Amino acid sequence: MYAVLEEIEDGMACLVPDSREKPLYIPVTSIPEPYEIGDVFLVEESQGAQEVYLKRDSDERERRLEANRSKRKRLLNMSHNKKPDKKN
Amino acid sequence: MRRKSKKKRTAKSRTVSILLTTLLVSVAFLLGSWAERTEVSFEWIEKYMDQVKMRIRSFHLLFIDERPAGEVAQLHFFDVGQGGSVLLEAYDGTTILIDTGRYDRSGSEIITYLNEEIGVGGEIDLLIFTHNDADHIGNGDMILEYFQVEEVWMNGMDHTSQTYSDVLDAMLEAEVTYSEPKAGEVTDVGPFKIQVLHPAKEKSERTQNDESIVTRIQVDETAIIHSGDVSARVEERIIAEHSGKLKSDIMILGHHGSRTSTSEAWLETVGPSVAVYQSGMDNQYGHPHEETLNKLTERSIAVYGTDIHGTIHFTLKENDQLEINTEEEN
Repeated sequence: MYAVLEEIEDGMACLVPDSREKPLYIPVTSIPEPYEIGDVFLVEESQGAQEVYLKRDSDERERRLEANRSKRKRLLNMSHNKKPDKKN
Repeated sequence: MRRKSKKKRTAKSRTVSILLTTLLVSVAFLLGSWAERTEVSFEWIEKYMDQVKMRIRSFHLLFIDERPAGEVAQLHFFDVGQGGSVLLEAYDGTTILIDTGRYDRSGSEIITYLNEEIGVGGEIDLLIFTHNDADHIGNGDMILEYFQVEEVWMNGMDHTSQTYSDVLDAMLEAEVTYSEPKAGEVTDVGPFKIQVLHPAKEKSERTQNDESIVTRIQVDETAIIHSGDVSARVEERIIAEHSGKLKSDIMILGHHGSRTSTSEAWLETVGPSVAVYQSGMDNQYGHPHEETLNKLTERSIAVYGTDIHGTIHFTLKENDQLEINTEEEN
């Protein structure tokens, strides 16, 4: 299962799984360093989810960023001719 | 701003919404069964269903329209647990939805909330995703599929979550108008005047939270400020760049009432009379933080939260009056 490091607050990291399952909250000290928000991890749970192993997948992160950037650009291009009036 | 607080809404609109949703599903089922026995094309059925949805929507609005004279707009702060979602609905039917709640909540929850307020498959004139974290864009794909969304705003900072990717796919499928607004832009959507206060044109922040779209939205004489999840550092930057343009009656507290947002300077500059936060009971981060709530109490700012009050409804009226209805008692 893949999960994305979305937020760190008060020493607690929030990882959002690709599925619609609940997020994983784990102490930030358990995240392999160096890390940054948006990193994609392969998550393996063992012993009835008592232990969680995280393996960073940098290629997957880059692949996702590129794919999403491309989708966003398509949206911007599609909307280019029908943008609402904006007053600066 | 004069406040008048009430509890519970009537169950009438909820009942009508459920009945009409059942009707819509039944029509779809009957059409499907009929189409199997004939040579009618899928495109024809789709077109016909759109017409049925529109008619049901008009019927729904007719039933639930209990709007008294003098009403300007309604704000609905949906109880979506530890996430954000606010619907602004003007007297003429113009709607703005800010965020769509958490990814791990059932999609039927937010759809039922919206069905009740704007009608089954109704129109959303503008959908603002303040930022792309999964507690703010959750089920956004379903909303884009189910409702007629005219335009979507995002902050333009790509995320790597599956939730974000699904929302982008749904936007492409729905062929919505898409924008990435920047500070200084002003847009009219029906009677709502939207000032964009953040993100900055020339510089991006490092995190989704700090790159949130921050807006001040004016309708009639009332102004509402929504700061997404930006931190106090970004609040200070906004104050420095937009000083004198931030006064607002209603403040949606940044980052679910976290101590990392809602600085003294932000409260002083905006000067709200009412504040609302959206957070879930017993959430992992302890939102809203006591320090934030104390700052509001010291300034005699009334505060409402979805963890305590459930879904919160504000009715803005002429003569600067505000009526507040909450789903739950204190």
